[in-house]
Amino acid sequence: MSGLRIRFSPGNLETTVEQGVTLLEAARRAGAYVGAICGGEGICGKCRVIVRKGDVEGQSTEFLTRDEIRRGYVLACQVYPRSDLVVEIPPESRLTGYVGIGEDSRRFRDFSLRLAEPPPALSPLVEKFALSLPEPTLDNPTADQERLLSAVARKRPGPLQMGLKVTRELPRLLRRCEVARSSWKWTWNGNVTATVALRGPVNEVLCVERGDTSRRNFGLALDVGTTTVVAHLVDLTTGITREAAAKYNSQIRFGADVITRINYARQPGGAEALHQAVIEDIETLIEELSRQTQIGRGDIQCIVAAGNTAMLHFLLGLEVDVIRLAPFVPAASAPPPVRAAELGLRIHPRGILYTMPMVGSFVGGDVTAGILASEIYRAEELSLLLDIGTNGEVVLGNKEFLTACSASAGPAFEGGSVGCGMRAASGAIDSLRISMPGPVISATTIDGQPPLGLCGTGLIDALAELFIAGLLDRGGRFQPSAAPKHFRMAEDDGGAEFVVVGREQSGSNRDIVITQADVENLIRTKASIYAAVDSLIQSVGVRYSDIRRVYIAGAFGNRLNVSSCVTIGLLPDLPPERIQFIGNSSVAGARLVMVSRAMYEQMQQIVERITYQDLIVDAGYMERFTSACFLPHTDLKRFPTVASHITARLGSALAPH
Amino acid sequence: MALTGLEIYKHLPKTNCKDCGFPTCLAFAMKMAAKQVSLDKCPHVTPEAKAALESAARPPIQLVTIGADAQELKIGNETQLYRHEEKFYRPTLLAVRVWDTLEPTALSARLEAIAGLTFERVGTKVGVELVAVDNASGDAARFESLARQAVEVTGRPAVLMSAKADNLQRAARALSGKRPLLYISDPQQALAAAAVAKAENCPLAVRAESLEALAELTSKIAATGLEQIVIDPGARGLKGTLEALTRIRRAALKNFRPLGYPAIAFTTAATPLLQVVEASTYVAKYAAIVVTDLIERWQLLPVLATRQDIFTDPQKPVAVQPKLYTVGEVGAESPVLVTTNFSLTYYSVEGEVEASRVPAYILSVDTEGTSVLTAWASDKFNASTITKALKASGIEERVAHRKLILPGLVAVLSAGVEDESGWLVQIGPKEASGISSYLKNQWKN
Amino acid sequence: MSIPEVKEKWSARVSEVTIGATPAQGGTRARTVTIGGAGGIPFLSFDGALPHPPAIAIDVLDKQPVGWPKPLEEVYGDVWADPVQWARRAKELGADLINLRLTGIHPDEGDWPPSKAVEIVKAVLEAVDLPLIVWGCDFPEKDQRVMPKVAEAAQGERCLLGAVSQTEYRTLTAAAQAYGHTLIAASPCDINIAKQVNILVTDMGFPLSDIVIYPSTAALGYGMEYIYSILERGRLAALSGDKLMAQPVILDVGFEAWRVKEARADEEMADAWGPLAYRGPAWEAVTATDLLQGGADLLIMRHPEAIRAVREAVGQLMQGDGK
Repeated sequence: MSGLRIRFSPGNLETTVEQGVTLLEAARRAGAYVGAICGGEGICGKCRVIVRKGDVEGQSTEFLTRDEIRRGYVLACQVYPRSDLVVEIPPESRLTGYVGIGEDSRRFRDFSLRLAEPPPALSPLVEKFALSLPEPTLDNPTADQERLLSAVARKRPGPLQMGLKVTRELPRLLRRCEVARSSWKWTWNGNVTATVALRGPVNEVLCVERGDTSRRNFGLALDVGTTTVVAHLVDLTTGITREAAAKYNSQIRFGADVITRINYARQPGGAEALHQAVIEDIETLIEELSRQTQIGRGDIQCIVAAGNTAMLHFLLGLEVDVIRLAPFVPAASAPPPVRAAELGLRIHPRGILYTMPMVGSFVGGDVTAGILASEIYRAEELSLLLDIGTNGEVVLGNKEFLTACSASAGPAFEGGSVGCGMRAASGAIDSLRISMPGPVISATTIDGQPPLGLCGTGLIDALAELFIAGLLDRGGRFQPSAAPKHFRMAEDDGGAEFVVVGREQSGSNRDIVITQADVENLIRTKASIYAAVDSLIQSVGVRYSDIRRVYIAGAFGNRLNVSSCVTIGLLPDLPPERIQFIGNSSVAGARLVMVSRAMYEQMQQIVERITYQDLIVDAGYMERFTSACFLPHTDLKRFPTVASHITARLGSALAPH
Repeated sequence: MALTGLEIYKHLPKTNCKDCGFPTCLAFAMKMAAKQVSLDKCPHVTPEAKAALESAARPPIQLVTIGADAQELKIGNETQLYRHEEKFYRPTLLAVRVWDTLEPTALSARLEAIAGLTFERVGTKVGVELVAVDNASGDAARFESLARQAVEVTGRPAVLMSAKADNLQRAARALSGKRPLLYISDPQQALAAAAVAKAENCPLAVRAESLEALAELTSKIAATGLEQIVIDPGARGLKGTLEALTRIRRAALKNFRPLGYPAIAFTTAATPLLQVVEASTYVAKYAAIVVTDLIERWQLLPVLATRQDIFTDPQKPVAVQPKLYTVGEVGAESPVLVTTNFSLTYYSVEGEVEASRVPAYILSVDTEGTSVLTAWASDKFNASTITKALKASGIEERVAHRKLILPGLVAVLSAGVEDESGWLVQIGPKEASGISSYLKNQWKN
Repeated sequence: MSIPEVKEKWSARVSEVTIGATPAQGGTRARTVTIGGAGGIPFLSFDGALPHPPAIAIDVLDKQPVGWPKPLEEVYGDVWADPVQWARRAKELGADLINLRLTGIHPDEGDWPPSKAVEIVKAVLEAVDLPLIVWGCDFPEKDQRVMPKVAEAAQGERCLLGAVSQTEYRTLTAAAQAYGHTLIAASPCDINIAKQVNILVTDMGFPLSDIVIYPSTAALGYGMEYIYSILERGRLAALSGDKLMAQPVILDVGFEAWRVKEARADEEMADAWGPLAYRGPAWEAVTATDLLQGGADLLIMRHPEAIRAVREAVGQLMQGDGK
């Protein structure tokens, strides 16, 4: 039997596959995005598609209700086509490349502008100098190359180097050749622009152009996140972001978390596929930014990439397996600058890609960037930086010391491992209020679209509000008797599920619910982050009240409600004015480094100063985690503000303990 | 009071020079706070800082050495009242007593019995470390001869117990170079015994009728230059001994030097079982040495088990031997569960399997004592380690089926395990508490 | 030479729980048992008041047990087919309380209906006038049907009912509250969860003063130290004023001690470890007395020799203490 034709809608994407290929793989080949957080293991339940025509075979799954199965829903990773198929990808499973890009661009640009603005004295890693080289004479017969270098050296002192390729081109750049009938004539043209990039201890003349192009000098600040890739196109002559763009990391199709991807990389061709996925994402972003700003790719002289250690390894095509194996040593912690072209990135052909230095396998260039951007490295006061992503990174310190750790928080705040969770994209519920009696639920969605699910900020709100409304006990168990109409019974185990939005109002034609398992996941996620903070605080020997500033970084929705974070015990109960949401600090740090050589220097010093703590060997971590697996925490004395909420609900007769 | 990482850090050069082998001064300070590295690893610390840090780090209880060479035993240096606060460092030494008034045959039998007091429990060898030679006769020659004989027959260092300093001197000389612990039961002769201990290079245990008298005595002895002191508060019986041991430990941890020595306790109860209880209680509560008359194997085994338990490092995961375990009357169709060798994980699984009354095999994979998720994250619990353990366990000859129950938390490993091992994987519950009902209701073969 | 004052300045004490009710109190027990109240570290009378010695409950099963080793069979073999006879034997052996386990209601162990459990509980209450502890079978769906009936049938007797957990606490808490019983709050070897269960139960309005903590139990040599440290930490928290950890503690010593190899292996280990007839009771006795040093208030035990040794040790340790 020859291949099976599989057509996916919307988009009418088609492919032909042999038998024994999963529907998820078929979608990949057709170029149709289907959310698959677990990387096709059948355990996340996100790759729901509807088979409209044709037959599939495969395993039953607990992720689909009987009603959904009757309507043709299957999990794409668990079924194999048996005939030609027509498959519909429902909205909740679609992850189109550009969803939310406009919103993200605005958000990320705004946030970064709030940090360290204005930037320190402008001295970008790549500079352009307009030069006027005097014409050589018999009295001054200096060679072209030396002539150029000495002019550059006057602008940028220090060791200089220049490649053969540029030297070869130089004589023709500096002279115009006028061809007459039988002879030709060289005319001197000393007005050129030299592009000079910092490469390690020396500066390199990347290229020389005719005329004055010094105004056309751009760079790309990049944050390669596990979930989102963000790029800022920065004008290096002013230090200001011209435009920003974001897209989902296409590696998601190989798994939502770092460990799953590293596992995938072990398969033949796996590492290359992961590398290519990032490169293509960056290419897409460059294309988009170039289109929006009308700035040519050739005018982008450099890229500064931040990201966690695994992502930067994928980007550079370095071996990743060593990261997850004891003793957890990265292939490189401070990779030298490379030509972007070597990685297949099409900016200026000789443009340079710089990588933010990493501290270790679990504290990457995103954390060092965050430290730079939040300026906690020079703060007088004790400060805490929390970068909440699939890995939660925590940094505690000030100008005296810096210590960091990383907790595998899981993807719950990014929508993974939660039934109706989704990323901060159009249609995601990003804020939520529940008032009693009722309950009366009011919610907002990103872009005001009909709700499809809940993103991180929405989930945090939901947990906090359910708890304060008395619909969750402190252990995170639903209390359906408090609002019977808002709960439905799960089909599989009869457990209670809270209906946030009924199917009539939802954009996906199904109830948007929070299940008992979702709540447990969210509690575990918040507990792992809080426990990481607790471990750092304990190990250094300070008190919570000593912390004067808390910076929250991350990309899980822009309506982060600090008080909800405290209510569920994700953040310590500190005065709200000490807590600040700073958005994507990783890209902000990358941008700072790109526009300031002083910051680049600073960066190297910061890396040297960071003390990494491994929570796996911290005997107290599990215990801190367990005591944080409660709302807001087993020890309510740590959360006096929340205690007063609970007192208000339970009434004075039952003062909380 | 132990210093925090930050407090130590303040005394360090803060140059992050890495000469100590750690990436930063703070990392070094935190390791120091956790007692995993000592200050001498930092070559650049100033003398002032060194003095400040060392006085804060000085252990409040004297370290005392008994025995020599391969038989060297150390007690003291404890820093905690409660084991969970850090750990108890030096397991209580057990000494079984012999008297120089015993008939020769009874004596030999007793010494032979002591020589054999080693046990194998949960894969570890444990035993009695010391023989306590009691000069009950008051006769120096008998004492000396028994001291020689006891050490020779039991192969253990001795505690030489006498009321007379002279007798101690004679016996100690006979054991020259073997560094027995001298115990002087008469406080009046303690200073004379101290001179003997000093001359013979032995540690000395002294007794007094009250803690106050004891403190006075140790101060006098310390003034003679003898630091290797062990103290007997003189109390006898459960209540008095427990109180005295606790007071000594608490006072020592308040840096009261005259009681900052390891303590010795004696079991005196009327029945053997009560002496077992007594000995176990003193092991749990601060005795550095327990001298007992117990000699039967069933009597000493629980005391040794108490010691193993109480002196386990609470910061370190405890591992079970990685191997194939069976619960109940297993057969060719019994289910096979796989888990890690972290003892808490293993015992929860075992307990639940037992509760289910479904006979089963449990394969404990060597994950260096880490739990399922930790082991998975650090790649110690993966398709190949599981497959390797499976093949090495011999289970394939013992069951007719090829179905493996994998912890639900690592369901993600199932495909890999199936591929590598050729076994069919069934996903078990995520928590051990679900195993019993899983085996009863869902296990189908 | 004067030595430093080492008495700790504790700010609080363990709460007291009284189990059982006399006719004057609306029950039918001959006497009640009060546990808890400690104002210091176990058995250190200089540290704080120790009003009650630890109590001992003897295990009684509702039906003949499976797999009990010989030393226990010798003591109970002739009565264990009948819970009433067994309870009488327990009283003869000096129990302070009867610890009745409803095993037969478990779906796999007979699936007895609630009425049968009620019948057994009533019969035991009638036959023996000691305060009663009753445990369900640890199968939540079944316990939720049976235990409220048991609670109702024993109304007024102020039994100690077990056990509520982090996930299953509503039904039993409500039943205990409605019919005036005290409650065992169980947690799986985790001090934080112990506290969490207390919070959940009291958030329902159940009084903290009627809760007894069951922090799990482990036998000597098999993780005993985990429980030991949980007990010590709980006791320190209680004495330092943490009201949510200030409840007295019950430990299931007999069940755990008699399930390990040292208390089961007979002839095959006699040479290496000594005879089981002595070794088994010693294992139970030392498990109990070690854990008493950690801080325990109510022990469930099995072998009379072990019980005798524990009583004797406690008697010596508490000379001059208590009421």
